[in-house]
Amino acid sequence: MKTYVEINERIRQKKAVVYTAEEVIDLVRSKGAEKAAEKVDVVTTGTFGAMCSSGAFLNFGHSDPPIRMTDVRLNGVEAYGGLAAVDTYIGATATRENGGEFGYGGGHVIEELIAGNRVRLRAWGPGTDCYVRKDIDTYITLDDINEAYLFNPRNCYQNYASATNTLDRTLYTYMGKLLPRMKNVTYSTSGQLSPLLNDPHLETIGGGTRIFLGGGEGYVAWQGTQYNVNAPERNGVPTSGARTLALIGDMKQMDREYVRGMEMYRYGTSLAIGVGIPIPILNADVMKRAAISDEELYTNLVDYSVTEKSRAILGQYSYAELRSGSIDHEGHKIRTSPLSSYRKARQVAEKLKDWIENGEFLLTEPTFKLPTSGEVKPLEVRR
Amino acid sequence: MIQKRYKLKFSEENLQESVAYILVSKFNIQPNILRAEVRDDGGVMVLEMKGRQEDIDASVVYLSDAGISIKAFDKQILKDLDKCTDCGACISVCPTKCFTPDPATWEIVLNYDKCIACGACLNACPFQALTLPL
Repeated sequence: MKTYVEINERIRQKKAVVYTAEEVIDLVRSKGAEKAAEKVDVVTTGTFGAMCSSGAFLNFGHSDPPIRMTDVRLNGVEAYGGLAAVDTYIGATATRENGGEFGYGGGHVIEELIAGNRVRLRAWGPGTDCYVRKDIDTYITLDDINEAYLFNPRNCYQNYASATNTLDRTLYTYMGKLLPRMKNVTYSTSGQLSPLLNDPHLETIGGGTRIFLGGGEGYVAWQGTQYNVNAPERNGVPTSGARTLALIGDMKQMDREYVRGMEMYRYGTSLAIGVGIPIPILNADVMKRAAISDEELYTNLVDYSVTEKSRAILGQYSYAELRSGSIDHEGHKIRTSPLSSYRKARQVAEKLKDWIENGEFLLTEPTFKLPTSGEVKPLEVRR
Repeated sequence: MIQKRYKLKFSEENLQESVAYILVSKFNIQPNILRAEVRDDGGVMVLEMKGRQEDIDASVVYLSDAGISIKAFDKQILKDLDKCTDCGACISVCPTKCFTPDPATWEIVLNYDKCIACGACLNACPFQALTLPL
């Protein structure tokens, strides 16, 4: 048994023993969870993939004369105009009209700001006695503006179904390009490195947990939207969409390496973000769960040609099988594509490990537990 | 026997030449037309030739003399390494299995020898890292 205080003391002394969630698998296999828990202080996780429910709060500062912006465009992408005069929120999936061959959206604007690029700000307002200006056309950079922080209502989906297509035409979905007649399967996870698959019941991750977000420090702000604790489990881990996190973090600390605009062809734009969460090894049970491997993690396979909400489950496959390049479905070999970068997930977990080993990143005990109940309700169409 | 890929460009004057027939009958080449299209600015063909080195060289000279622009085309798909995040979305949409993850680093490696320039991967890439300049 270890406490947060003891672990942080070891981090301060640069003596903490830190493993990534991938490295720790073999250790626990050879030594057992009890012995490994005595040795290891922290396990770092990582993921890098599309997280559509993401966006940034920005404050531009006041121009002279000032304007109350009600209609805001950043590089032509619409941002929210319903906050105070020069505050806005730009969402990852907002897409520029006339974006050219490829879509350009809020995710790309966020990437460009983090890269240090100039971004064109155009805004209009009603013109009032206190805010006389009615329009503005200028350029901003991340350094110029006051505050800039990501606030993502739903990140780090605990698990997500893999996708295929039974139709005789190609489908372009948020799960990528799905070839006709089940010619391929896509899946999106870092599996054995994924934050919420390594602490499946959120024993250590909670409100206020300090995390790696986009290359800087961030925090778990709240439970994510569509938070669900009732998903079926296998090996103690949900096999379908379950818990989610709302995350917050300062964009000025972030690095383009871990924050990228995306366009899923004929679906729209999104944002790929690198998230890493440290798991303090408080006891053998936490250790055992953090050492789960792709062989033990499963997800459902669903048919994306079914447009009704309740899609039939065609099967259940381990992430080890999905990651092998093909799955065996009823005697047929189907090729697979990940949509989440395992290379970058590893890079995130390694970077967080470096920070902790170097005494630069202390762990926080959650200030509040995330809910232990909660299910996803559908939207009824009423007349 | 060696195998080489070329990009051929045709003008209005030579658009209807039967390249494959000439290559087979005159130069003993096994041609494989990977891609051919007629566009507003002329025709484009991606051609794979299999044969002896000297026969391939002679074919290139012949086609060039016939007014067809011919260039070696061994990196058909251009991958922008700055944009690519090694996600792997391209892997399963490629009919010739060009994209494979390096088992150690999980970098997605593009094997140009297998690429037939079909372009199936282009719109599968969420980071617009892949282009096929024809």
